[in-house]
Amino acid sequence: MMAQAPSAIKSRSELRQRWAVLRPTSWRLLVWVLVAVLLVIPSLCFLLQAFSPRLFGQGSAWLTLANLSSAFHQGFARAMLDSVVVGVAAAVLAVVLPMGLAILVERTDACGGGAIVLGLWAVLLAPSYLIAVGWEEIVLRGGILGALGLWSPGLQHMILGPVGVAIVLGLKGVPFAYFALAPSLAAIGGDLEAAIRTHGGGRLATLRILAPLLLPALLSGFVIVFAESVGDFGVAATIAASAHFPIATYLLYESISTFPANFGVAAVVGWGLVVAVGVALLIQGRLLRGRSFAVVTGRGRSSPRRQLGWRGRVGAAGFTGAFFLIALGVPLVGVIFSSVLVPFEGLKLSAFTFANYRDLLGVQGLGGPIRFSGEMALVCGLAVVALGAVLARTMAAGRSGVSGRLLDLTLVVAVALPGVVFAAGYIFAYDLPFLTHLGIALYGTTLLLGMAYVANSVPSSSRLLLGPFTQVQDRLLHAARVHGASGARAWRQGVLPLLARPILWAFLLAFAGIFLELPISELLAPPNVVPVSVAVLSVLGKANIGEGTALSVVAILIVLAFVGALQVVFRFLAPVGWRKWQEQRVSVAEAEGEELASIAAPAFAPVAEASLREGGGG
Amino acid sequence: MTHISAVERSVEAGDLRKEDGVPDGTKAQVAAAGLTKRFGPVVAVDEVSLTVAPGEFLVLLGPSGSGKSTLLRMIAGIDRPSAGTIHLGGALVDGPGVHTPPERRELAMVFQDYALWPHMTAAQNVQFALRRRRMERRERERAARDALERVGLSSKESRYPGELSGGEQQRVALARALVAQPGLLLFDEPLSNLDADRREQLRVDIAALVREQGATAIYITHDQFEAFALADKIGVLDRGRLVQLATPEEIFRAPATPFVARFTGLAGEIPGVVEEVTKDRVTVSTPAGLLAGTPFPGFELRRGAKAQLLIRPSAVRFGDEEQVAHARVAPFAGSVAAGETVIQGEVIDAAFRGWGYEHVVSVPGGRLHGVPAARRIGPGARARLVLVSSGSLVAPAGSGETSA
Repeated sequence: MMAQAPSAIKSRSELRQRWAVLRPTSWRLLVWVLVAVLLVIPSLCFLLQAFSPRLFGQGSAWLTLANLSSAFHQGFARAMLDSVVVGVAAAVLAVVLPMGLAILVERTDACGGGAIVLGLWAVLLAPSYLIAVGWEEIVLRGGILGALGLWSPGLQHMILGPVGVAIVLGLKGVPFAYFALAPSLAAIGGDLEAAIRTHGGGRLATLRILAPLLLPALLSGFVIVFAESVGDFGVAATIAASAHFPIATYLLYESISTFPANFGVAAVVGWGLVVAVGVALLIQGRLLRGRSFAVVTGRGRSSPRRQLGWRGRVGAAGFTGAFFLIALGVPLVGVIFSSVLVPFEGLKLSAFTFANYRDLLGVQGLGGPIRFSGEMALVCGLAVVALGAVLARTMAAGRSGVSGRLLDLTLVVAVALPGVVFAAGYIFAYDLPFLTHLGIALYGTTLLLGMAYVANSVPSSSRLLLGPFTQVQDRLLHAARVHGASGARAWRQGVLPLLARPILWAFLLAFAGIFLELPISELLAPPNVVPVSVAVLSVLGKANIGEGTALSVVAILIVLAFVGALQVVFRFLAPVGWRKWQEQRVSVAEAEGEELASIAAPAFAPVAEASLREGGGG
Repeated sequence: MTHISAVERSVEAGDLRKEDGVPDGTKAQVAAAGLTKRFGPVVAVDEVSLTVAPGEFLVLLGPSGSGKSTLLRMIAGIDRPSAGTIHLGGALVDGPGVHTPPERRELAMVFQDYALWPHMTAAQNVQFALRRRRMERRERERAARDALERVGLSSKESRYPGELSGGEQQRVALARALVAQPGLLLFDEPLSNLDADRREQLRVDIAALVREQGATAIYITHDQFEAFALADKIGVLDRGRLVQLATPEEIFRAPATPFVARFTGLAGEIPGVVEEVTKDRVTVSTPAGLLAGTPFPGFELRRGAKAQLLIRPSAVRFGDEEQVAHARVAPFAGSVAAGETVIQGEVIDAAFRGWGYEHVVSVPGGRLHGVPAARRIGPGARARLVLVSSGSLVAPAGSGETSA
């Protein structure tokens, strides 16, 4: 017995030790398998049809340019041009506006910095189609302005056209750009500014020298908003469609939704979007090549905050108020009024009605879509955060390696691919005959719908978490390991509590996104299942705008209630240390004169770090 | 092969812990053989072999980029060696196809930037290290309290790291490392983020507490004074290679290479040409005159060859009695003893050090730093300096440039 026991233990020990050697490689492999299954394979299955329709039985040619030619005949060039122009305009708007907000929050003593950050989260949570519908309801003849007798055909023409599309997309992109810019703006003051001033530089010289340091954050914000904008489907399906302003995502949707569906043309449009974002990334890389901006993240003295006079305070409040009014207030008012106002009746008391809500409540089985979407959002949201965290950690740990960079690139490109591409790709990738032969029948199942939801949300979720994961020092993990914690426990007790807040926000964003998700729900929902967004669309499709917007309001209220509830739960149930350490960082930083990017935006601050990392190439 | 045999022998003896790849915490002996770590084309640690006896305090000394942190991280199990083996307490923990994760190495570590978990109180941070001991909660709390008391922080156990000063945070980290009484303690430049006062206090505490516990310790630093004050043995690293492993006294008196001599402190260097070579003494003709020193082992010096005289701070003093009357060094009695040479110089700087002044003196062929005197000798003053040949070393010119 004595002779056997050591031998058994030896083999167990050997296995454990060999696993320890193989684990990092296996881990990377597993991550790539997941990315391939969820993102790369479905996207490729879809995109390959542009040139090889026979691969998936969509034509007779193995290799052809017919789809390309057909896409051009259907206005692909115009749609792409429109998308790129609108994307650039939205990105410019989304970079200029947050600069003003960030200056107010980071460099002046204007009050309401916390409220601005919360407001930006609200903008982030609101789906783009809701903002678009809200604006439509304001400017249409039968809308609010009409009811007030203020309807203007010029304004309607402007909002329901290229300008409106760019404005809505730009407003929706503001939070991304803000959270990339604000920490950089806070960090480039202090000692750097003092050095310029003490060496004889005036205000202009200070601006000239420090402005280039913002370049990585500016470009990062620009590229992300550009990618989000060219891939956005919500605005394409609402404002752009009613204005007959053809943009790429709508052309893509049209190609798929008309009968017979033309997946080849849709794939060509998909390629167009990938190339557009690829070019944007290339330009970003070129502009920042060989330049290091590491100084921005260094320790330094707090940037001085400018004391605002009463005029300054009024101006600041006006600017902030105007932004949130346009980005959130007006569209929300539009949606809410549209749901309670009888069209063309004017703005009198008798025109107000809760009939739409009564009708909705009277619809049989309305609880079904809400419950189904709620469950999917909960389960898939958790999966998104888990996978997003794994991807963020993999990128943060391997950023200098080829694998890390490739993963980074894959996820940025995936941001630009609209949900409809994933949805169509999933149909092809997971309805293949050989899978059916293997007994894997995923098409038409809730599992496939869930996978597509996860695939659609995980690129932005992982990018959101990349910053926080980059900021957490490996030493905290190492300290746990050398003091006896296993890898899992080191993460669970030593690191994840520090990331609790960004993880919570990432989950809430994923939850909201999935709960209100439209194109994937429409194409992949199993028979007899109606997700909320499909229910909204079907009501809107019956030209009952009031009921549609009422359902949107109900859906948004559910999401907001869920967000609020979870925030309250976190506030009261999370261990004190989880919340306290962030506050301590702020006070210690202030006491020591350190700059901390996360003061104003705890969950998002690290995005700036990520943006610097991307931009600085280091 | 010998390592494998050692493991096999331990199995035969029924020592299951060793066989299981878990080091014996009570007999923490570190043995590294041919340890190499490559990061792409860069060789960070190059075939380092060393052993640390149980209870010994080893300091790894080297400039930035010399590989000392990487070496420590490999011993901790955080980084995996590209080649070579590591045995802890007789058990093979790293080798071909073998890697024992850090949590199974029965060690503890103090990090340069403390690495305290900011969401845990001081007491919770310390208790964390006790989880592997499978103690009851109450017992754990008591042990953590005791450990915090030992480092003078009993009144701050419920504070979060953000509410503690840098020195206090490092004390918590020290308590966390000591509390589970591991056989091996690793220190990764633990004092480098602290100010001078706290650094000295904590250094004394580290030395006392580690010795009191009887643990084996490996401590890395780039500060020669810290190394000399703490170490039983010092390993000097240069560009990834271990160039000398010896007691502090040996390192100082007989540095193995010019790099070691330079890194462990010189007053200055004077170039010259070798005049005469005997077994343990080389005379060099320098612009300051004929000066003698000890040759480095393994470096060939021939008459007529260009050489560099490396002068330790302890080998130089002012030759004027009045100038050294209250200095730290023995006063010059007015005559030159055997093995001493007087050279002329000009003071170019004087710095007040509390106990007196340190001067920079320009001599023909170079500058000598840190020449002590009780009174300030103003810049521009002519001075006579006495050089002690036993404190000077002779190296071939251009040899052993520091990698710092």
